[in-house]
Amino acid sequence: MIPVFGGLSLSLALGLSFIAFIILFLFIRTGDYRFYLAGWRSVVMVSLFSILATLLLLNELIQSNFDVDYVAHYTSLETPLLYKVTALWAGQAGSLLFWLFILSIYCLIVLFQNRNKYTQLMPWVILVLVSIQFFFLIITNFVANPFSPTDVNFIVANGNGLNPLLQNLTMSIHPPTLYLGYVGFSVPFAFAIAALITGDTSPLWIRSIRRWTLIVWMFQSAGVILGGWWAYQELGWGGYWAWDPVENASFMPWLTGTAFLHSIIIQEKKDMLRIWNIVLIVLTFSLCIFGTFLTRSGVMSSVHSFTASNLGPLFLGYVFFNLFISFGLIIYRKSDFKSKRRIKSFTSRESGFLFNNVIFVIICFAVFWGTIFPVISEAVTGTKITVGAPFFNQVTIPIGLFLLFMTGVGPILVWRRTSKQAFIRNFSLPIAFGLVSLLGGIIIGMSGYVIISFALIGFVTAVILEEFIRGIRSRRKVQNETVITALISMVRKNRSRYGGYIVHLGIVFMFVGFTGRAFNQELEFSIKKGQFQKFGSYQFEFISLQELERPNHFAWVAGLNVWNDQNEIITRLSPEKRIYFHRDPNPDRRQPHSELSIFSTVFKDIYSIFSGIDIEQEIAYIKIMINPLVWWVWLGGWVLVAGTLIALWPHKE
Amino acid sequence: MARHKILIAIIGISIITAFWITYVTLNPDQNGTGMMKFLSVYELRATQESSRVRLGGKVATGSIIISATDKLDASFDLAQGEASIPVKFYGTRPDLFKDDAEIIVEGNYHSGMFNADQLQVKCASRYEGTLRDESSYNLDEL
Amino acid sequence: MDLFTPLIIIFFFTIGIMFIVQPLIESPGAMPQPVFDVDELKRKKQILYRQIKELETDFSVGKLSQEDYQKSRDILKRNVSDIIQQIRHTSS
Repeated sequence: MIPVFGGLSLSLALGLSFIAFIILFLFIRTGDYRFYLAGWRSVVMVSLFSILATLLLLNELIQSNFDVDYVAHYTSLETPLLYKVTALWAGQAGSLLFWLFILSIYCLIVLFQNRNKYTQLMPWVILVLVSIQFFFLIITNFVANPFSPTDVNFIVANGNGLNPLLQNLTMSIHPPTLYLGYVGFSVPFAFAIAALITGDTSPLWIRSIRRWTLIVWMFQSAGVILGGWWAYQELGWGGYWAWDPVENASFMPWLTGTAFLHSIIIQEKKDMLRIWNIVLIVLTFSLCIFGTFLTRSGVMSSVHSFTASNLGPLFLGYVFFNLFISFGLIIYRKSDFKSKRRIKSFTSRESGFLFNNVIFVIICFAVFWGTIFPVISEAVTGTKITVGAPFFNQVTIPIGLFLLFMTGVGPILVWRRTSKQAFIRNFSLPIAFGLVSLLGGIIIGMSGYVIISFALIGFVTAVILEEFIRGIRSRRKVQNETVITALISMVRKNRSRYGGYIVHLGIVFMFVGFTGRAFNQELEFSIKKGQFQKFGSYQFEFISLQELERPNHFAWVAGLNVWNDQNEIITRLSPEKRIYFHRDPNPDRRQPHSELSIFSTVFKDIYSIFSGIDIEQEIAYIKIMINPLVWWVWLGGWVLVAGTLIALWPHKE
Repeated sequence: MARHKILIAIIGISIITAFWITYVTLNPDQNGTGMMKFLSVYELRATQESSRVRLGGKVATGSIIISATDKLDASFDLAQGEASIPVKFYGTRPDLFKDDAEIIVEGNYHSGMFNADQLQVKCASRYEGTLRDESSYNLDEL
Repeated sequence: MDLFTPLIIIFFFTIGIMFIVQPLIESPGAMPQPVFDVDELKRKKQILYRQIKELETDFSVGKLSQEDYQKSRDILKRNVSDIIQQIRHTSS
C-alpha cells in the first residue's frame, strides 16, 4: 500500500506544481495579491508532498519491502539500519528524489522566511524554485521512479544489498552534505533570476542571499572534502583525489561558487560587478545540474551509455534551457546593469577580488575542459582519448599556486586604494618568511613546484598571522586587555573578516597536505606469519591472522606490528580482507572487499591494504604506502568549516 | 586609467592561461599518463598501437592464472566478442576483479602481449550499487 | 486497483486544492505595504557603518595612509548622511 502512496505523492506534487505555475502566472498578469497567496500555498503543498514521498521511500527501505524495485536493488535483509537509510541516495532514482527532498526543504525555508519580505522579488523567486521542482518531479515521476514495483516475474526473498564500498560512515554523510551544498545554490540562482526579471539588479537580491550562500558554500566545501576522505579510507589506492569525472563534477561548482562568494561582497559593499555576479551564479547552478548529470548518467565512462539512459538528454537539455533563459534575460536587461561605481585603483581590494574571481573561473574551465575532453575527442576523431590525473595536475598546479599567492596578497589590500608604503610595511615580513621557507626547502633538497608551494605557504601564513597580530596589538594600545581577550573581542567585532582569514588558513593547511603528495612511497610484498619486512625506516611484522564473522560479512584480519628504527613498536595495523554477501550460496555473488588500516600522524600516514591471502601457507599479501602530510588536508577542512561558522555567527547589533 | 590597467591584466592572464591549457593538451605529460588513447580489444589488435594506452574489455571466463609462488602475479585474457588479448599484471588487484568483470587496463602492447601496470574494474558510477544485474535476484536461483 | 486508492487520491487532492484556493475566496486583500523600503535603507545604513568600522580598523593597523583614510571616510560619511535623510523622508 505504502509504495502506492509514495507514487501518488509524487504525482500529486507534480500536478500541484503545474497549478502553482498557473496561479503565479495569474498573479503576474492581474497583480491580485490573493493569487500570490494561493501560489505561495501551492508551492508549500508541492514541497510537502515531495518530502512525504521521500519519507515513504525511507520507510520502505527500513522495512525492507522488496516489492519496490529500488529497495530490492540497494538493500538486503542483513544491511545494517544506518546503511538502509543511506541506500536512499545510493541509486539513481533515490538520489534524484533526495535532490528534490532537499530542494523542497530549502523551498519551505525560503517561503516562510521571506513571507512578508522582498515583495517584488518573491513571486519570481517562487516561480523559479517551483520550476526546478517541476523538472525533478517530471524525472522522478516518469523517468526514474523510485517507487516502481519489482518485475512481476520475480519473487524477491532478499534484496541485492548495498555496495560494500558505500557501507562506510563517511559515505553516509558525504552525499547529503554535498547535496545540501549543490541544491542550495538553487536559491541564490532563483533570486538572481528574479532580480533579472524585475529589472532590479541593485545589491538588494545579494543582501537577501549572502548568508544563505555562505551556509551552502560551507556544506559544499565539507562535502567535497568528505568525498576525498571517503576515497582515502575506502578505495585503497592511497590518495584522496583522482580527478575522475564524479569528483570534478563536485569541484567545478565549488570553484565558481567560491568566486561568487567573494564577488558578492564587492556588490554588497560597493555596488560593482552586477552582471558578473549574475553570470557566476548562473554558471554555478548550471554546473550543479551538470554535476548531477555527470554522476548520474555515466556519460563519461562511454559516450554510448549516453544514449542508453534517457536521463542524459533530459539533464543536458535542462542545463541548456537554463543557460539560454538566463543569458537571454541578461542580454535583455543589459541597460539596467549600469552602476556608477568604478574601480579606482589597481591595488584595491575590489580589483584583488576581481582577479581572484578570474583565476577561479579559469581553473574551473581547465577542469571542465579535461572532464569533457574524452567525449569531444571521441566525437571529433573517433578515438577516445582519456584524460588522467597527471593532466589535471599539470594544468592546475601552477594556476592553483598563483591563487595561493593571491590568498596572501588579498588581506593587505584595502577598499579603493592601497598605498605603496602600506604595501612595503605589510609585505616585508611575509616575504622574508617566504624566502626563509624557500631557502629551507632548497637546503632539504626539494625542487620544482614543491619548493614554490612551501615558500608560498610560508608567505601566506605569515600574512594571515600578521593580520591577527596587528589587530590584537592595535586593540591593546587602546584598551588594556590581555592577548586572549583582545583576540576574542577583535574576532567578535569583525566576524566575517577574521572568519574569512581562518578559512584561508584552512586552505593553506590543505596546500601543505597537497604538497606532501610529492613524497609518497609505496611497497607491495608477501609475508609469512612471524616474518619481518623492511620499508624505509620501518619494519613490518606479521603477527596474527584472525577470522571473524560479522552480521553482513566475513573478515580475515591481519595483525601487523610497525617498528621504527629505534626498535620500538609504534602501532599495530589491522587491515582486513572481507567477503560481503558471504552467505550467498552462489560463490560468484560473494563480494570481496579490502578494509584499510591507517596510522595517521601529523607528519605522515602509514596506509596498509590487505590485498590477498594464501590460507594454507599463511601468507598475506600486503601493500604499504607512506603518505606524508595527508593529515593536514583534513585539518584544513576542519579549520575551513570552523572559520565559516565564525563568519556566519549572527551579529549582535 | 585603473580600469584599463585591470582590464589589460585580466585579458593578459586569460590569454596566458588559455595558451597554457592548450599547450598541456597538445603536449601532455612526458611519461604519457596524462592523456592516453582508450581502445577496445578490436581496435588495439587492428592498430597494433605501441604507445601507452588504456584498454577496455571483459576478463575471459576461466582465463585468470595466478602464480602459485607470488599471488600478486596474474595473467589473463581480455576479451571483446571473439577477439582477445593476453594481459600480464603484477600488483594488487581490485576486489571486484574476477571472470567476466568489465575492466580497464593501462600499459603497453608489445608483440602480442599487453603489459599492464594499472588495473581498474569499471563501474558506471561508484555510487551505483548495481553489482549484480537485475535478473540476478530471481528466487529460483538463490 | 482497489476502491480505496482512488478515494484516498481524491481526498488528498481536495484537501490540497482547498488549502490553495482558500485565499482566493476571501475578499481581495491589498498587497501588503512595502514596508521594506525603510528596512532596506536601514540595512544599507548598517552596511555603511560596518564599512566605516572596517576602514578604521584598517587604518589603525597601518594599511592606509592618512590621506586615503580621510578621503574614504568622507565618502562613506556622506553616503550615510544621504541614507539617513532618505530614511527620514520615507518614514515621515
